[in-house]
Amino acid sequence: MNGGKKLFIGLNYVGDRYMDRALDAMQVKNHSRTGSMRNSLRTLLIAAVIVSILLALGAVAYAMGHIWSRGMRDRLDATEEQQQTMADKGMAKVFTEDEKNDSMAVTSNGVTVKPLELVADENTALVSFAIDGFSLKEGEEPGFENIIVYMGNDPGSRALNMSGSFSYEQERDGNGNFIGTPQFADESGRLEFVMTLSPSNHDDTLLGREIHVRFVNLCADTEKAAKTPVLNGEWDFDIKLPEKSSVREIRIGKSVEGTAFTMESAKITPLSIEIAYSVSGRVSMAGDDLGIPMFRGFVLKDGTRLFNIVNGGSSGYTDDSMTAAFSGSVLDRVIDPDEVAEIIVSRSMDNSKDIAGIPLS
Amino acid sequence: MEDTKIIDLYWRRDERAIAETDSKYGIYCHAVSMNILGVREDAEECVNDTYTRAWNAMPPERPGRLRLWLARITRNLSFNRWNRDRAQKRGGNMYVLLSELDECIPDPKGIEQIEDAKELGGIINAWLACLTEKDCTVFMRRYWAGESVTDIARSCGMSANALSQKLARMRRNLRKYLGEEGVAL
Repeated sequence: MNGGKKLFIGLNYVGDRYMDRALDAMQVKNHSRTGSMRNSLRTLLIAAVIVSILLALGAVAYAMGHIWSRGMRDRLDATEEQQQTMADKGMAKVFTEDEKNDSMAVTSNGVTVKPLELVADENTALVSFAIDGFSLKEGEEPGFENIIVYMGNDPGSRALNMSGSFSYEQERDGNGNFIGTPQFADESGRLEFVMTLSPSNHDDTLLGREIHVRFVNLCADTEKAAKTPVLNGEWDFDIKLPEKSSVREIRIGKSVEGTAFTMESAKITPLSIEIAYSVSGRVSMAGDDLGIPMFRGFVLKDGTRLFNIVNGGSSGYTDDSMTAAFSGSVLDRVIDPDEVAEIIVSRSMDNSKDIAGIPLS
Repeated sequence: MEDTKIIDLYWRRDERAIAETDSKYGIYCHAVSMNILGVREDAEECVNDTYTRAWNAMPPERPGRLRLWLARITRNLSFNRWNRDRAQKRGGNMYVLLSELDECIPDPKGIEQIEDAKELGGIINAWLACLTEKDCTVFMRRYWAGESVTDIARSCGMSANALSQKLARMRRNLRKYLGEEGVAL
């Protein structure tokens, strides 16, 4: 019977259309009990599944104090297991709904802002904030008139790069295209803002640093280009970043064929990657294209290919001699650095399909 | 509810995802599981396990064909359960079904050499492409979805005997195909 079993299992890998046709043609009977038992049993079964799932979630939430907010989940793909692992490693901090969190909440002109989660490594920090008490009309988009973020004592210092946005949900059609208007507030009226920070100097580190965040005035507008303050207020925060690093540093020493670059080393964290290159030979540059091979993705040890997983980054030459360069990228998902087998880079900014895979061993 | 909206519920960790999944596709999952296990309570457990798997898989997954994705999970879970419990149970639809599939193997020793189920699926896929759509569907209903010969025959307007003979011809055809392809199964 072993042969029959193998065939039975193998049938799971034939073309989808064959299985679809079988499902279409199947005589699907209602296998539930008859009569009044049917609906109540189905309801009980669904409830039992939901309860068991929520209990499992609750266990994770209890261990973490929280499940990542919708804004953080939108920004960074991570399974609950990965969220827990990052918390265990000290890379993620959850500001739970307790006295400590309440003490971090700042209320100005009736609007309360408080941090929800912090996920960080030496190169990247993501911080999510909840905004309560600010109402939006249908079709309005929220914004802050100004956001000041700095390290140290000088608000005018430019040691940090910052980008951020308010989270929203929007309907999609059958082709996955957005339709209708984006919804920024959840059912309770809460808004969420997620910011991504990175050091301006790629040699700098965020580990153990304290960042200062100031939000100034809230805006609501139907035109994205126009930010008209509708509520004056200031919300200030001092946030200590994690001290622990979870970086995998690898010596590579392999050339990127077809370019003047050799990938000398890489530092991979669950959130980001920084690649160090040496340069020998002529580099073709044009406009914004510095000619540096850009990180595009990974091939994992199990063969999984993660492509186009970048959500920001920077690159440049370390000095005017242009004999050394770097490319740093923030990922759109959490990965396990130990599972990376190959780094994928694009050789040309003009041609995203001109890629090269650099094995790490 | 459209599949994309159901999947969005999973991504938002909204427990309505399970109810909506059960409402739309529970009947298929139940049918596939019952065809394999034959016991209602066991099938219900496998379907529940399917929903738990779906909850844990999304995100990050976004299945393109949700019904099929769920049915595959249910089928695997049900078969694994049947395989685990078969020492206690003899006969039944799965025993007959697997015995029928055994007939398709030209060289019993050779099948041990195909390790990858995906590779085998690709081989069978090529054979399915040679069949008429109707024959293909009948074969898949019997050996993928595990439907009984009686149920398939009734829906096709055939007698069970006639369908049994048709399936036997198809199995001989597959055996010949696998032999001609030099498949060292």
